[in-house]
Amino acid sequence: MAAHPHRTAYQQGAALLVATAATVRPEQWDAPGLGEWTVRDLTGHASRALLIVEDFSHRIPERVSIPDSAAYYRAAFTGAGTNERIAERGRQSGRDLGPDPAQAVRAIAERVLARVDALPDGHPLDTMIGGIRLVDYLPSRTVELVVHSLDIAQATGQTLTLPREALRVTLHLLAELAVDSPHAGALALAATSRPVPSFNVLG
Amino acid sequence: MYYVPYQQAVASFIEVLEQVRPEQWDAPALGEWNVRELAGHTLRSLAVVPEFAATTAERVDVDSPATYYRTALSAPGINQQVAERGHAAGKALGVDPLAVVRPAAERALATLAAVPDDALWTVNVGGMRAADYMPSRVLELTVHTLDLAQAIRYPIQPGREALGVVLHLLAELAVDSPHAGALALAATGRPVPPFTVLG
Repeated sequence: MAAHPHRTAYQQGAALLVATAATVRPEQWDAPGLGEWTVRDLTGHASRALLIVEDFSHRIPERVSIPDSAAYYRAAFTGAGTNERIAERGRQSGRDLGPDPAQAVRAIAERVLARVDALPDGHPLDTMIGGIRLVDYLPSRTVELVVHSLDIAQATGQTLTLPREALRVTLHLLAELAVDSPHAGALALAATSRPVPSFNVLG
Repeated sequence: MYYVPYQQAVASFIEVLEQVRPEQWDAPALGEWNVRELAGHTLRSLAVVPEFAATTAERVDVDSPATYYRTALSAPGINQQVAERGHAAGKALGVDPLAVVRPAAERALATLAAVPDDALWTVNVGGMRAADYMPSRVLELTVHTLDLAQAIRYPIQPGREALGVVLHLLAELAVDSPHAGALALAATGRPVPPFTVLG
């Protein structure tokens, strides 16, 4: 039986992050990455899209309460102080990558993908804000892997070749989030070369 | 399946036209078009429905909304043709555009309501299932309604089902365009140079 498309997309997203990190030059790790993060912090934050799946996969929720990745995002971004917590965790994750971040990311990806492969599609994850099935959660982490790989590439002057299934999952999930955000019209206009002020459908 | 999104898109188009003040019809709207010409161009997405619904086709030549766009926009000289047809469509709207648009909308919706789900039409690019053709009309109506709203500074809120069709179609087009990464970055607040997934 063919793998669930969300698994393929997640694997592609992980491979993209590994390849992007592998192309960062040694002196670039402490260069500006995104906002207040260095490239190392940003890569550390991106690696959390792998680590967190592994972490959540060892916790069994009482019940599955989150139907899909769009619902997960909407619930996750309502907490006060979310951005500050994410910023600090990114710095910590960057430190955790150690002296060879690219090699650390590769090792994490191999380990987490093997763990994910061993779980059934419907394996329930406890995400702290509720239970969700594995294949329903993976698209949210694919968005993180793809967008932050693009961020790393921009910060380090790389041109990425983007994997198709990861892109498809990412863009359709962003579209789904946009529909229920105030930015749906802005996204339609931005996608068709009309000038619009910047916006973020992730909230 | 496509009726509700289309109906919402039509309703938003009419809503924005109702807000156009008399002196705004000749104001700049999009590229070389003024508000009247853009409205005339957008009217095509109403007029084609009864036109194409009267056709049949032997086979499917174009099998998805994304392929429709890639095929339709690859015709040589298409942008210039569309621009010129827009000028003519603006003239055809005359002094009271809503008097033309309202009956066209009623006719399009009445026609569509009677179209079976598996209808096969001959459209401008060949044989297509109505279900694969109509999302492009929802996109045209919605994006140009947003253009009109920007031109007259009216805060339009298109319907949810219409936006869903539009944004998922744009996402699908982006996947096979060079702009997929740019779209992901634009959607998440990163500055990117202008791009269009419509090619």
